[in-house]
Amino acid sequence: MTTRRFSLAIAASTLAAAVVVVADPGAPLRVPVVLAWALIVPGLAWAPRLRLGDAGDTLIAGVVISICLLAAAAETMALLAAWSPMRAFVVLAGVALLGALFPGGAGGAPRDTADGPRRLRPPGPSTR
Amino acid sequence: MRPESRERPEGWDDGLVTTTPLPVVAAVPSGRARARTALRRAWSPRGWRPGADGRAVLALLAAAALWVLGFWGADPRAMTDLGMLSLFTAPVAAGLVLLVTSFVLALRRHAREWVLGAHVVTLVLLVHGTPAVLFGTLRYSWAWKHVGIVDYILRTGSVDTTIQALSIYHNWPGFFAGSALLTDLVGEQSALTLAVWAPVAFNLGNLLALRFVVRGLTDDRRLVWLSVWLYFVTTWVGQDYFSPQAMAFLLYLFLIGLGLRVLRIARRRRAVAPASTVVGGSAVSRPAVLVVMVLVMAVIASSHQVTPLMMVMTLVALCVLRQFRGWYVPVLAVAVTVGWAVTVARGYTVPHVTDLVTGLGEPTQNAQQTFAKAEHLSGAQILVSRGGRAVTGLAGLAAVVGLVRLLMRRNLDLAAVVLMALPVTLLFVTGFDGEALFRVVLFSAPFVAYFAAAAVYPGPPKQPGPVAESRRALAAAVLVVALLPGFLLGYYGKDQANYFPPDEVAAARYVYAHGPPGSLLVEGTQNYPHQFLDYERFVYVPIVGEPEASRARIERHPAAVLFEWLDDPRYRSGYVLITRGQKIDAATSGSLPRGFLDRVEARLRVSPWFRVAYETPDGVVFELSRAGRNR
Repeated sequence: MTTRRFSLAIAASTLAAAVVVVADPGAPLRVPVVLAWALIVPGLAWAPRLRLGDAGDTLIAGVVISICLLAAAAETMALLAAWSPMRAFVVLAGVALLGALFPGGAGGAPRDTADGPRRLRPPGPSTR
Repeated sequence: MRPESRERPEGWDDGLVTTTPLPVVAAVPSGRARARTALRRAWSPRGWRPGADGRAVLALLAAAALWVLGFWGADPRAMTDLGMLSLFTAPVAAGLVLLVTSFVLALRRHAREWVLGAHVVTLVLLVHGTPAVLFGTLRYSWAWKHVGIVDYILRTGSVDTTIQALSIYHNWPGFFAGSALLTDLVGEQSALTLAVWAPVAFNLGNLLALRFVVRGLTDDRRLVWLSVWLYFVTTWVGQDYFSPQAMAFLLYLFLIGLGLRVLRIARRRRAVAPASTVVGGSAVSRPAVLVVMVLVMAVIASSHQVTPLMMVMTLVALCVLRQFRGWYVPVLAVAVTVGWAVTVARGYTVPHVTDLVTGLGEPTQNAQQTFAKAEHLSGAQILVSRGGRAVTGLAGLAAVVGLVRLLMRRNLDLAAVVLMALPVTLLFVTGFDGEALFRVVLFSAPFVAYFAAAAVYPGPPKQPGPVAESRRALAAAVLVVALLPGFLLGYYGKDQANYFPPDEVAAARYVYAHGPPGSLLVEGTQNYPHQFLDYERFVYVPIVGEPEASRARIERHPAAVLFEWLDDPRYRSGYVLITRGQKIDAATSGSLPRGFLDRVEARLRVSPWFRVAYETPDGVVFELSRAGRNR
C-alpha cells in the first residue's frame, strides 16, 4: 500500500465512521464500525511516524495511541463537566485526518552510513 | 531482500550470521511507507507453503470446531465448583490438544510469523471468547461495578472527585471516561456490551503488545511466539476483565516495549544511538516516541493507582542499572504520576496516604493478605486455588532454567531480569486490599514467560539438525501441557460464582431501577451484578462485611435485625437482595456459614414485616411490608 493509499484509507474509514455516527443505522452496523474506528484509526494515522518498521508493532502503536486519545479526550470532558460525544468525535476525526493529510516521518530520515545502516548488537538470544 | 529480513532486521550484527551491508540508500522511504511495506511483507500470503501452512490452517479450524462442538448447548447454570472446567467435554479437550500440537509443530518447522500468530489468536479467542458467548451476561461482579461508574458518567456527563461511594474511580477516571465516550459513540445506552467482550479485546491487544515487548529482547521468532503463548497459559489471575488495570497493563506493556526499542543502551558496546535507533530495518523516531511516551504515561497515571507505581519503579530501575538511557524519562513518569495524585486526585490521595504508608516495608503481611482469602475455601475451590499457584510456581521454575541457560550462553539480558523481578517490590509498598500478589504475578508474567520460553529456545542448538529441533519441540509441548491444567483451573475455576444468569441480573436491575436516592440496600455478599445502574443512589451494606457480632445477631434474628436496619429513618427506602451468585460465593469462599443466606431468606419470607417486592428463580428482593412500615 502506498503512502497515498494509506492516507486515503484513513480518510475513507474516518468518513465511513462519521456517516455511521450521524446516520445511526442501528447497533449491528454502528457498534463494530465505530468501535473499530475509534480504537484503531486515530492512532494508526500517526503511528507510522514512530518508524517501528513492523506491521504488528505499528498496529499496536496505533491501538495504544487511539486508546490514549480517547481516554484523554473523555477525561477532559468529564473533569470539566463538558460532556459532548459529538465534539469528541470531531476532535478524534480531526486528529485522524491530520495524520492522513500530513504523512511522513516526524523524526528525520534514518541515519544510514556509507557502510550501511547503523548497527547495534541485538539484545537477548539471537537465533534462527 | 532476504526472506528472513522481517524477523532478523538487516543491519543487526549478532555475531552468528554474516549480514551483508546494505548499499547506500539514495532516497530513503518515509516511516509511513516503510511500515506499510513491512505490513505487506509480514502478512501477505507470499511464501505460503501449501502443504505445511495448509495443514496448520486446517488444524486451527478443526480445533476451533471441536471446541465449539464441545461447548454446544452447554448450560452455564450446570457448572459445579470447578467452574467452567466442569463443562469441558471430550471434544473440547481434543480441540485443545490439537491446537497445542499444531502450535508445537509450527515451532518445530520454523513456521512463518502469521502461522504462529494465528495459533495464539485462536487460543485467545477460544479461551477468552467462550465465557462471553456461553454466559450471555457479564462475567465477574467487579466488572458490573465498573459498568456502574461508566453509567454515572453517561448520565451526568462528569465525574465527582468528592463523591463518597467509589470515589477512587472518580479520582482516576481515565478508563471509565474513555469507556463512557466509546459507549456513547457506538450508540449504546450502557457499557455492558463492551464489557462482555473486554477480555477478548484486552487479550488481543496484549498479544500484540507482548510481541512488541519480546521482539525488543530477541529476534528469534520462535522464542517470541513461545513467550507469547506461555504468557497466555500462565496468566490465570483474571486481570483482563473490564477494568482500569486491564487497560493500564496494556499501555504499560507498550511503554516498556517502546523503551526497549528506543531507550536501550546496547549491551556489549554500550553504544548509544544518538537520534535514531535501528529497529526492524528502519529508524525509530525518538522525538515522536517521546511524545507518545508522555501521552501513554499520562493516561496510565490518570487511570489506575498501582500501574503508575510499577511504571515509575521500572523506568527508574532500568535507568539506574544503565539499561535505559534518558534520565528524563523516569523523571517525566514521576512527574505525571505525582502530578495527577496531588492535583486532580488530591481529595483522595491526601486522606489515604496513611493507608499506603501502613503497607510499606511489610511484604510478608501484604502477601499474606492474598493468601488469607484462600484460607476459608472449601471443596474444589481448594484445588482451583492450588492450580493457579502451581502454574505460577512451574512457570517460575521454567523461567529459572531459561535464565540459567541464557547465562551459560552469556546471552542474559539484565533488562529482562529486572522486568521479571521488579514487580516483587510491589509487596514492599502496598497490600492493595489483598490483591498485591496478583499484581506481582501479572506484571512479572510476560518476562517469566520469556525466560520460560528461553528454557526451550535459549539460542542455536549445539548440534543443529532435525533431532535437536524435535527435542526442543517436545520440550515446548511438555512445558505447555504441564501448565495448561493449572491455568484452566485457575482461570475457569471460579466461574460458578462469576456467572450471573439473566434472572439474577433482572432482580438486581429491579432494585436499582426502583430505589429512590438515599435508599439502603442490604446484600448477602457483593457477588452479584451490583452497582451497575444509578449506583450512587444507594447505601450498600453487605452482610458478609459486618462484624462477627452483627452477623451472629442476624443469624439468630434475621427479620428483627434487618427490620431495624430498613426502618432507619435516615434512608428513604430499604431493600434486602439475596441472589444465587451471593449464595454460591458465600458457600465456595466460606465467607458466611453454610446455608446462612437460605435461612435469612426463609425467615424474611414468613415475616409479616417484610414482603417480596420482586422475585425471579435466581434472586429475591425484600422490602418492608405495609405492616412493617406502620409498626
